[in-house]
Amino acid sequence: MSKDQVRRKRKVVDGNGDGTGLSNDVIDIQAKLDGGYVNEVTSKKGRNYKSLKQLAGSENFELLPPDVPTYYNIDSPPSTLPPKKYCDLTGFKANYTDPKTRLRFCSPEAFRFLRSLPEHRVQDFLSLRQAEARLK
Amino acid sequence: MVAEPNGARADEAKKKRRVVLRDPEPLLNSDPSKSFNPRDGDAVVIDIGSSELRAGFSSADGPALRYPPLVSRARDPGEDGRRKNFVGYEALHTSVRSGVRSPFEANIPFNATLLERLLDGTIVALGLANEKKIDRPFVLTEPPCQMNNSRAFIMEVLFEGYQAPSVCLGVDGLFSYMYNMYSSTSTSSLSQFNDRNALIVSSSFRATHVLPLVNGRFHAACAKRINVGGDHATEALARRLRLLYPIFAPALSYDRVNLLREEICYFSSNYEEEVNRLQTDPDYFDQVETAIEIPSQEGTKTCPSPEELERQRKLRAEAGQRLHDMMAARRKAKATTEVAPKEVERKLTSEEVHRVESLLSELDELETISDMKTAYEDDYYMSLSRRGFKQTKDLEDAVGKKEAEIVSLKEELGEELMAQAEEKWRKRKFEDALLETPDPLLTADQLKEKRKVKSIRGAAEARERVKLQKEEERQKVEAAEAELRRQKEQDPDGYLRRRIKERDDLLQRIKKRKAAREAGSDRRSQAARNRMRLIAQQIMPENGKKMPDDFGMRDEDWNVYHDMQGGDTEEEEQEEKYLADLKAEIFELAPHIAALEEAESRGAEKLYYPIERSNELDICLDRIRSTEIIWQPSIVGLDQAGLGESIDLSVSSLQGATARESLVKEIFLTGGLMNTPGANARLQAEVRRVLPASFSPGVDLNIRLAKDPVLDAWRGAALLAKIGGQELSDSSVSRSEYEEMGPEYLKEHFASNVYYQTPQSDRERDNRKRRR
Repeated sequence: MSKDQVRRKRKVVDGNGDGTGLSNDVIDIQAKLDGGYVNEVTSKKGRNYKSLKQLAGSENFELLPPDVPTYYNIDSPPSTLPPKKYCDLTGFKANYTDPKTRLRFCSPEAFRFLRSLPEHRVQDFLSLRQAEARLK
Repeated sequence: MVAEPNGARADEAKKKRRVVLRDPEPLLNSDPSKSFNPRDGDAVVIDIGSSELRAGFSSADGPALRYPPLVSRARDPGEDGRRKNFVGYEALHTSVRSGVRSPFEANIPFNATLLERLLDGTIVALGLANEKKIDRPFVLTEPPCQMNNSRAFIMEVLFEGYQAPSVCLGVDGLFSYMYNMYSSTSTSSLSQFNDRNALIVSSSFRATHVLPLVNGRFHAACAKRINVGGDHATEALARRLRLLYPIFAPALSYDRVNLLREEICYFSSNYEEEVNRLQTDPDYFDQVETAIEIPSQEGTKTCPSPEELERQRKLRAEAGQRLHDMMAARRKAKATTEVAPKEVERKLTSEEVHRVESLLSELDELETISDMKTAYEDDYYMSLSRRGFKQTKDLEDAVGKKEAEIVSLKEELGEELMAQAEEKWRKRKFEDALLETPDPLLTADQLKEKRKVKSIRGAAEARERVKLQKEEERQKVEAAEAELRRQKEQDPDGYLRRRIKERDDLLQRIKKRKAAREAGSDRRSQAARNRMRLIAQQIMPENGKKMPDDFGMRDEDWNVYHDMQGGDTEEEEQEEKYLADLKAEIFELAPHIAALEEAESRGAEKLYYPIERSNELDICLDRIRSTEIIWQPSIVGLDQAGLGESIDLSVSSLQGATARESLVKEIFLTGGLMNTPGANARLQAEVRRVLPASFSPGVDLNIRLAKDPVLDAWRGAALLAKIGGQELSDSSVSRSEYEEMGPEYLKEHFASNVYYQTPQSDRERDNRKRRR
């Protein structure tokens, strides 16, 4: 029997017998807060910690017809327009990219400044647009 | 003295906008001065957003509670140290930051346990905890296209934890729209919205949504979400400022930057154009540029009272007096002990010593000659003639003269000193004799003595040499300085020119060296190759021959390390210092030239370099850049269509041209980020751009901003509760419906999400069958 099944079984036992899993006891909220949550509804229900991804996983989105609007398919798609390039230092339009650091720059002055940066700060600048070197 | 351009600049600086970076005021979960007495039958209205939770009763005109959705567990200092749960600002005040957690990820409340605690804390704060059963309808908001799981645990808490009679759920942006529509028309029924078409743009903390409302219902199939919001804008701004101004990084906290963003950032109606204008038009740049004043650390300290200041001043004065007395006493004691023996121990000056010694050695020489008379007569006469004496008597006269001179000198200097000098001279003479004697003629003891003398003499000579060298160098420097002074006086213009040239050369040299260092970091560069060659040579000399192992014998040998390193930091520091001196001198000589040069270089730098001043920083382009991320998520590296493009996608995916047109005709803006100035103008521009060609060119765009983009969602939810009756019960899930349909069930109404059942995988279905 999986853990999940154990929990479900317990839920039925805890319930009031009508199969809904509901308890007849009224939960005193103040006592719940003061007493350190022995009586949490969510933990009783087996809703222990799940990451957002796990939560989405149990939604079975893939079994739905594709035209049903879900959290994931209302996400805007990647842009079809070419992303505009801006100078990493000044924010002006960047016509150039430094082949060494991969930083974008708009002028000799900006280039000089960016070249004077130590490596870790170069990475910091790149990470502003999530382009830093990632170790895999 | 102030030149014209400087004056103009000063005027501009006066005009420049200034903003003080400040902390948000410390807030409480609820305003203690306001009491909220819910009427019977009032609904509990909670707007759970990822930035803020707003809760209250439906009869009020605003939420009674507003706080960030944060939960912590901490020991309560007031009570017996038991761990208690805190929410909102209380959590922030009682716990360390790391212990404070939010149930949200992105814009979805995903952590059931934390969410329950948050709701519990809210219920307690609303004063409902003592009721055994909360017999009030609930109206809550949820994000568009809320996940069923997430909704399920909210419903479970409400129905099972609080025994709620009914729960109504709706989308925050749609509630906000409803409230604004309702308050702008006179009819008091919600049925007027049944055939309404509108496009609602809701930009909140973690996400920006495009929500089409078609025939009075949320048309979720065409909704779009961009995963950036106010949180991302603030984060982007904060990270950029911290990078550009590292010295202020500790002062640039998230909360402060958030306030700053709300204060100074705006939407540019045409970003491309404005960026270009900022780059090319300095006047416009100055106009947009804002100085941000960083509060100094002293400012945060509490100011001591005048009495306290007086007391501290007295203490300092007393301590100073004590120290002063102590030093005076010490000086006095030193003077009394040292003065007396000093008079006895008068030392001979080097001149006097020289006189004594030359006299003594001359006398000694003469006596040596006269001693030779008996032993080596030939040598004696030769010495006599060499000294220019004709006969023995001349010699005796000379000896007598010297002796007389010595006697007179003795009188002059005093018996004791003379004796000392003589003693010294004799010792030296003995040592000289010892050194001159060849080793084989010496006994073992004498040899030892000779070695000792030799080493002592060597050290003394070396000291003397160094002293001389130093003196020489000092003289050289003094001569050079004198020469410079002379040039400065005689030909000031030429001198200045030379100094400027020297400075430029030095600048050039430093620049070149930096370039060389840069090239060094590239492995294939010439500099790097030279370095490798040097290192290889040290290990294995060329031709494979082993070099004679005399490395280090010559001083130049050690230069190889210098070359390998590609530069000397000490030397560089000296050069930098010299450069600074030069600059200072040039400034002193010709302040007008230096100021002009400075201004010129600043003018170019201003656009490109973050200029650090002691207590302020400048923001210009970042005023529009940080909010631009919802139009161009690629700025923060997110590969997603921006808001303009998303509106296009949303509208064009709708069936029917008339429906599309009616949608664009009514655009409604809500959500915290839409409070930013310029939202309306930018949206106009974007919608015009994406408008399909088939649209009649004269389409009237009606873009409206919510009256209060932040609170209207709560007010809309409260409005539904206030209208109550059939309208509310038709939109709410009742207890019996919850029990029948399960926790994910949702009653659809015009502001709600679209309900769909969570599909079951085959495995889950099998499991269920087996349990039965």
